Amino acid sequence: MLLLACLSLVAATAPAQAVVSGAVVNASNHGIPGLSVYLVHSVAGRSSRTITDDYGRFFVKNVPIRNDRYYLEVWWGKTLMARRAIVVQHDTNVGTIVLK
Amino acid sequence: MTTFDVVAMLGGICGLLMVVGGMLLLYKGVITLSQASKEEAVSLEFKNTLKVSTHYPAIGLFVVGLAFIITAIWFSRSTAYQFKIVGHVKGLESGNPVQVLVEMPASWNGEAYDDGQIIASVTPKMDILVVRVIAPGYQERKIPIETKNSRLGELSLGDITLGTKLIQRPQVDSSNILVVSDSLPPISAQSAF
Repeated sequence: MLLLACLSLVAATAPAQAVVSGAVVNASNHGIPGLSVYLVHSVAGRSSRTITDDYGRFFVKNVPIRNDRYYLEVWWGKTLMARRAIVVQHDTNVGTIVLK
Repeated sequence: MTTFDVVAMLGGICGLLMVVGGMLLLYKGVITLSQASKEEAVSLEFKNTLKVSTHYPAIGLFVVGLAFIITAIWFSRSTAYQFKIVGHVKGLESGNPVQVLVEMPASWNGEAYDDGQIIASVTPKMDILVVRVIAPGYQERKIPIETKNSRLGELSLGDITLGTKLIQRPQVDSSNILVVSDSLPPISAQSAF
């Protein structure tokens, strides 16, 4: 019983997480593969790298839900191509990011 | 340390004590190699194929002790695999770094019950590894390699060409990059989530 109570307590105190998804395309609306996508937060830190697929889609998983904003960064190799602010309070689709 | 580790360690210690104790008793003259028993002192048999028997109790101690040690070592041997993967990517463009990821396919066989409990058995398949070669703007390449072809733990990919180039690199548009006042961790920072 005590073990079950402890497990319930751990489950209840575990931070809620969400998935952030979207797509990166060029000016011709073609998805760009192989880009590195991160979510960054001044306190929570940087997410693990997510790579866009052959259609430019990405899914950043296990994002801790917060009330303040994250920054979504898109990198072409070592070059920052885009950064935008988002708030993650549930599974979020940021839509299409266009790199012209 | 798991229960299994403790049992394996105790088995090894028992074996060591028997071997060292046998040597000590032999040294003290409590037992001698010349004392042959008319009956079989010790007899070990494994699946009707391997049979060791001795009429000398001193040798018997060694045999049983060694059996303990060998059994402990056998069951506690490392099952971890380690491979070194080498290769060369051709046709690199400057400023367009290539990322290489190695994945291990795993079979998944599980179900979620009505109460939400998940029971799954995962069997990692080490016979084939998948190397993903990724470069911005290029179609990803997936190269399966068979681990049975490793030589001294090294798997060679040879020369690798990138996949089809799909997109030219766009110009950096500063209007796409939000300037932030917050202190953000650098791209080299270790991932936090």
